[in-house]
This record gives sequence, C-alpha cells and structure tokens, in this order.
Amino acid sequence: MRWLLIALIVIPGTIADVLNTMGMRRNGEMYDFRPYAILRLIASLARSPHLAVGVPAMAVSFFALMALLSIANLSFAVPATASSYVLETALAKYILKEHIGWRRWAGASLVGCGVLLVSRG
Amino acid sequence: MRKWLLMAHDQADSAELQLTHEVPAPILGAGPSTATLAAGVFEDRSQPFCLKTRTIILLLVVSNVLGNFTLSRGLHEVGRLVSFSPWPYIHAFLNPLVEVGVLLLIVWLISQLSLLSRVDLSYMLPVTSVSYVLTALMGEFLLHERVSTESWIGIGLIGLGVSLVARTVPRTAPVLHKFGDLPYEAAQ
Repeated sequence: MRWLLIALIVIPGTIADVLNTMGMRRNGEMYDFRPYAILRLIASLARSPHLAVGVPAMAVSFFALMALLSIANLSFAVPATASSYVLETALAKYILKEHIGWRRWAGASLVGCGVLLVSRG
Repeated sequence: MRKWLLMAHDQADSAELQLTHEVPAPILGAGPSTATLAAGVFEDRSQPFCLKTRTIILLLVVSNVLGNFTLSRGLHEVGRLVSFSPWPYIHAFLNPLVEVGVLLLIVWLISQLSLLSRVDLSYMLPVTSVSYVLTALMGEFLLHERVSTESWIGIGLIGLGVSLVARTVPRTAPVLHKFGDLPYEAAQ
C-alpha cells in the first residue's frame, strides 16, 4: 500500500508539472491578478488539454500524499519527493526544452539533498 | 523593496485572514516573519527579477506551507484516511481546519500555474523549495520542536541551491501566446 501511494505521488506529480508547464506556456504570461483574470485562468483549465490532464494529476498526487501521511511518517515519503527535483530538471531539459546550465543542475541537486536532510531531522 | 513587501503583505494577509477563527494566534505571526525570510532570499540580487514574480513566489510558498500545516492538523483530527471510497474524504471536508487548508491549497494551485506561465519549471521547483525551510523554521520557533543539526545542514543546502538557481534567467523557453488570446479557440 505504501509503495503504491509513493508511485501515485511521484508519477502523477511529475506528469502534472510537465503538462502544467506546457499548458501555461501556451496560455501566455499572466500579469493580471484581478478576480476576473483568475476566473479566466480557471476557465482556461477546461480549454487547455494539457491543464485538463495536468491539474487532476496534481490532485491525485496531492491526495496520495495526504493518504500516505495519514499512515506513514514523513521521512518515508520524502526521499521520493527529493529525487524528483533532479528527475524533473532532466525532464524540463529534454521534454520542455528549457536551457539548463550548471547553476540549475547544481541548484536542483543541492535542493534535493537539502530536502532529504531537513525532513529526516 | 519595502513597497513590494507591503504589497506582499496585503496579498498574504488576504490568504491568512481565513485562519483567524481556527488557528491559535502564534500561527498568524507567521505572516510577517515568512515575508521577511522570503525577501531575504532574493534581497542581495541585482538581476532583473520582476516584482510581481517575487510576489507570486512568496504567495506560493506561504500558501503551500500554511496549507499543508492546517491540512495535516485537520486530517490528524479526522484520523486514518486511506480508502478508495469517496466517503471518508467527504467526511474529512467537514472539518474546519481541512477546509481552510484546502482553500490555501487553491491559492497555491493558482499561484503555481501563474508562476509557470512566466518562468521555467526547472527554475520554479528549486526556488519554491524554500517552503521546506519555512516548515522547519515554523516547527522550531512556533511549535518549539527541536531542529536537529542534520536539518540545519539541509536548510543550508537548500539556501545554497536556491541562490544558485535564482541567479539564472527565469525563463529560457519561448512563450507562445499572450494570456487572453485564447490560443485553443484560435487554433481551430
């Protein structure tokens, strides 16, 4: 059960981040944060195929995390979350075609290690 | 600097006002202190970093930390929650702490999406990991949990990683449309 939940946290979470980035990139940069613009953002969830899959995937990942935290310790869940920093940076490079220099690789690795240590202590 | 902090406070306060009824006073004190901390992360940078983007990052981190905190408190009151049936989840929603947590996580979702419209995923992920630092510091100063040496080293590593990534250009991938152009309808 625990490992199923870990898989349900990591896989949909990663898919969600990649799809949401694609969707929001197509939506264009958002500078307006009046209520109307936020409603329009919510409306675009239905219009964008990326977001229509990405946001529910994010919800699955989130509920799986909640469920896992109700039966297991945080330190059981976190190693998987921590490794996703490096994994998602790689996906951003190869799928999203982001330019990733040494600063981002080093930063993602440091943050991953840091998250691991913080959550164990 | 002061101006955007104030603006950030305004926004953060609107998210935190909902907490007033449910959460003991010390938690509310998190507002200003978290704002100062997040400000400190970027303070020494002279790179072009749009004011609004900072505000979104701040909002994202604060709503994430407070949302997770209230939600896990609330779910702790509700009890075990592993089920494929929807009823335990619906039952959990009747808890006020859970409701506040879910509201904060909606703020988190919206700020994450709007941030992704402006910066790379590989920029957002490390930079928003400040939330782990905030969670640990909140435990230390508000809940008086001991933060171990291991955690302090972790906090240091996260800070170092964030400052490295924050020194890169936030967006390297091209934007396809301006928001509001309704690309999906236009494409048809």
